[in-house]
Amino acid sequence: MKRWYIDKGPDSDVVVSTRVRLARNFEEYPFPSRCSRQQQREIIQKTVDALTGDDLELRKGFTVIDFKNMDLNERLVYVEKRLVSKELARSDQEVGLLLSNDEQISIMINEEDHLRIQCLAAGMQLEKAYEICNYIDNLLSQKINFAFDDTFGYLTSCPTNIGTAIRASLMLHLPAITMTGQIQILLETCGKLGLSVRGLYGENTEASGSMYQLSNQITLGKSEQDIVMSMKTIAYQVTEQERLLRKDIMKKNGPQLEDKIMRSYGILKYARALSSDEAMERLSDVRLGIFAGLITGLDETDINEMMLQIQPGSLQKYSGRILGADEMEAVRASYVRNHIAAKE
Amino acid sequence: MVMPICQVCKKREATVFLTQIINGKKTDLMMCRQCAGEGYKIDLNTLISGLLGLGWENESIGPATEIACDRCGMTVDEFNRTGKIGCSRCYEVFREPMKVLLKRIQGNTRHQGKVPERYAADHAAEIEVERLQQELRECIRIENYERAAEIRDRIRQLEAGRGGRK
Ligand SMILES: [Zn+2]
Ligand SMILES: [Zn+2]
Repeated sequence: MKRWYIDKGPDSDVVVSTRVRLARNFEEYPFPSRCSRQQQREIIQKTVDALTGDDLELRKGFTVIDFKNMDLNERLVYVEKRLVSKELARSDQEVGLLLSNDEQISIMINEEDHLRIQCLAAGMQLEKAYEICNYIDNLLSQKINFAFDDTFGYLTSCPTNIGTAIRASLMLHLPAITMTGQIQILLETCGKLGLSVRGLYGENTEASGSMYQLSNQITLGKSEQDIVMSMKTIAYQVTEQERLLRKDIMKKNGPQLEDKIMRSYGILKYARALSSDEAMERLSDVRLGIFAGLITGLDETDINEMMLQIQPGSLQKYSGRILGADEMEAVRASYVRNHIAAKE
Repeated sequence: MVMPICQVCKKREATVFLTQIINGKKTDLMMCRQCAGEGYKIDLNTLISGLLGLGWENESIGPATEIACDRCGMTVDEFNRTGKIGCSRCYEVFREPMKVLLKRIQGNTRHQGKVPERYAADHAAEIEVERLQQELRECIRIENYERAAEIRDRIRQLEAGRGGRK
């Protein structure tokens, strides 16, 4: 599989990406916040050994990232690519990271739990992502005794993750549901079904770029398969609703929508300064335009990549230095201009 | 459109909305970007903090606040402050209040998912014991003492087989 942001996944008109992660803890150590630095280092070493011990193929497929000695901006880039959590990036503890070379699987070490096994994929691929996490978990379980209780299941540092310790998330692009003011209803409905929905990337407007993250809240009392399947069912309904509304808006307000999309495209092509919010908003319009057949030079992977690269850490990496606020907006605009020009 | 105000700092506009169901009760959280920026765990932690030890004070073991984990030293107070458990042993030490807490935040107390290979037999036995205990109660109710005696023996057998690991 390719990196999620340059891959075209199933249902990618609405589902941008899938993420599944499992939390696991070593039986013989206290949870990370109560571990000594020496214990934390042992945990990293044992995890690396367990994963890459005998299997040469696997060893070649993964890189041990020296996350602890990485500078802050470099860490931020990993967060923006969704490969690690903000908590790991901010931690001053002995944190570790094992990353598959295709950036699909990451294992965070000594975050809130000893291990967070995570799989990322493009579009709607919940089952596949879970299978991969499960495979890695089985592999590690051959060498590591994970904390488990007959009644409570896999034990975690926070009781909100206990049991299956699975968190499945989908990143959804919902411009039509947002435009028609139905997002509040959606939030409430999903809430009633035990899922949480939160806006992604937002700063001053709600969920800038109309990007939302749907995740399961309940981790105890249902099997992993049930959790994944019920989430998939709900996500399909949301996806269908979004598609219907897109068609409906196109039918009733076609010219206005087309104008909005093409103006946004124009701004991205020519602007000399872009705030993060504006860039997200315009990219969201263009993404909609791509699936409406209005814009042909770009595809959804370009949008994924731009949405990722216009985040502060990635822009600073791109320009090789720390940027002030004005500079940031100029560099952002120039990055977007160049990306689009290269495609046309 | 008028934006709601962040429930955490009560100053900035709320732009992040979190809806969750906790034991059948819907909870809405609205936060600003800054307050929510820590990721999607902080809100849950504030919600669960203060819950451990509820409904436990009057049990024979004494006040919950005086108990500490014999392995890592965590106390109920500490958990209520941080929302984080100290070690896997804590779940044993605080098993009863933890059940109350889990019932509230997860709506469930019994794991139904994956079981690590080395626990599989134990786990199956535990589930079987639970089922038999239910049947036993039913047998006593309908005064089928012969069957009840059989079930009791089977439960003893299963529990002995699990080697006292709870
Ligand atoms: Zn706030
Ligand atoms: Zn403990």
